[in-house]
Amino acid sequence: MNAPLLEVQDLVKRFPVRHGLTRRLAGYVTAVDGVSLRVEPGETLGVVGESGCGKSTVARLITRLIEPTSGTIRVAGRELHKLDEAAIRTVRRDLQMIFQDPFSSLNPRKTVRQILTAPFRYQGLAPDEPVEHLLERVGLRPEHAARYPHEFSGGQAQRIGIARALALRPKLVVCDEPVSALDVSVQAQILNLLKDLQDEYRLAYVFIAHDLGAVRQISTRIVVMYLGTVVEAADRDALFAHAAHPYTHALLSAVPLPDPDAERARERIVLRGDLPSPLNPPTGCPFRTRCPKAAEICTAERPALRLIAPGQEVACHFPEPLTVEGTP
Amino acid sequence: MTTALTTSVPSGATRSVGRQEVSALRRLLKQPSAAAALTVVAILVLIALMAPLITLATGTSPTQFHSEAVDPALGGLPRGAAGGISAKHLLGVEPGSGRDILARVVYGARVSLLIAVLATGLSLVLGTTLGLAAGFFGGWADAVVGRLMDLLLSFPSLIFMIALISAAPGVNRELLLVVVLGFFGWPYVGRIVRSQAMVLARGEFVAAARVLGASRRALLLREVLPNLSGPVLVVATMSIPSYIATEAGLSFLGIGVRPPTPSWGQMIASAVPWYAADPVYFLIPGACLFVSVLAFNVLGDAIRDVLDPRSQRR
Repeated sequence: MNAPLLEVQDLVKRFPVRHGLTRRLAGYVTAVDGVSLRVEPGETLGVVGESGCGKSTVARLITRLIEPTSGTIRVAGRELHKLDEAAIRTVRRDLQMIFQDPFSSLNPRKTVRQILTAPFRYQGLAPDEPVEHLLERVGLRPEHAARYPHEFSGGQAQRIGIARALALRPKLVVCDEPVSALDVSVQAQILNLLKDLQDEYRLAYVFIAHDLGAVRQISTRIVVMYLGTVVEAADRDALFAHAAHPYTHALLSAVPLPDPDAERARERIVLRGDLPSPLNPPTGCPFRTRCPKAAEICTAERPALRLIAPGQEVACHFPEPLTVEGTP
Repeated sequence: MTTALTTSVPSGATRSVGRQEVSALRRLLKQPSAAAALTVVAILVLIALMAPLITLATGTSPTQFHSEAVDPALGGLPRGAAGGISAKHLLGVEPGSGRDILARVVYGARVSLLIAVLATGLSLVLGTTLGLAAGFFGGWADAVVGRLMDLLLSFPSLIFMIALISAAPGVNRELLLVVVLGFFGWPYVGRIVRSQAMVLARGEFVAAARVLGASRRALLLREVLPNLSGPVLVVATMSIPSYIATEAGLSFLGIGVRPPTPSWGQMIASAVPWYAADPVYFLIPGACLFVSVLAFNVLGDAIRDVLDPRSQRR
């Protein structure tokens, strides 16, 4: 296998927290705490976790919208943090992003044509295909080019966002909850479009979502995040078949099943309490405050991510045995 | 500044501008008050532009004395009823000198509008540039511009203007008024632009442009600036009447436009001693001032309502 398309190692992002009139430094919020990821060309890495677990921060770090506190990000072998502005601009041709809110990610004052030619203008390139082709590729009509973003539905607007991300023919697209703001029926259409485009252009995705259903549809591998750390990483089927981390179990038990009988019989693990404040994270294992299995060692020692089966890593002192429950 | 500009632009304005540009004008004209205000403003602008044509048609000039129209036996009071209104002098004549009031009023409109528009232009340029820099870059730029705006807003600008104009007797008064009004007025624009730019700079479409590789310059000029046109348009229409009133106030106090150049404020000031004997002389420039300030204010309110979906009245 060649070098991975994206390799993230020990990524840390701390945000300073300031208080009062003098903007006194009150401490740091560790939004991302030692995350490592790998994405191979053409595959989709799903990143799941509840709000505030740092998954959107990871997206913004990878696309270099924000600077990491420490850690390395390599895109196709190039280390992002070592590059200057001009070199990063070139890397951006390979690395694009799709945003959560399709409307706020499109400039309301620009026509679709202006939005879709902007990538070339900002890169100093001549457009290599007409805007109409880009529109057709994402399932819109050529005459949409003259319209403004507000004239579209949410799903159509997201298609424009996708067309913009694809204009430069990137190799990796970071999708930050691309379907969360859409109706359920539209979500499926957008997911299918993303899959079709992936097959056509051999795209790799980092697909961020809080909804396991969407992630299951599109991912080859899935990473589960909790409070800024990766608690479990596994191939899609392995994760759904035999999740090892108690938090992953809780997430899986929240996915509704299509069969009503199975749905009624489904065992639900309801987590007690809220996500701990990232300003003051628990000692040891970050999940111990809500974990049904928490023991003394969990307070004392933070579990490292370790391989428990081929392609499955978990950060837990008491991982689930590999044979039980989960949806087959 | 005699009238503080206390307009606030709701944050909704920026988002809605792009949405219905064409229908915005249509919706504006649907409100009778806005349509009337726009008509009055249009007439005012036409009158100001065509002032020389109007005086040519009436055969007068704003500075020409008509001693035959005043009665020296009555201390220079205009001959005839209602301040000397006649076929030759449609709005009467000035007591004492006999200058044609219509000519002076239309030339006064020129001066008032020109000063207000240029001062607005200056404050828009300064306010947009500095407010945009402060809101977009934050940090030091924001701290410096923010303090400067606080300083200017708390400065006793009227006293300063009086002092400055008295201290510089030789300079072109019109130009000085434009510079001083524009300079003390930009923080009102700057505050609004700053807060809007701050919101926009954090917006996702700016992030999207950054991911595409846009330079800072492109982000500022191509992504953020076009979204500021709505709020800026609103402040502009609101600041014109405020400058018209301020200019009139300064001219009334004798430190604005210098005679013989006519100005409404100056005419009102010279009408004060005559108010009992010749009230028409007082009423005409007063009405002009009142109607134009009112029309611009109504128009500004209407534009803000049209651009902000949340403040729509029925």
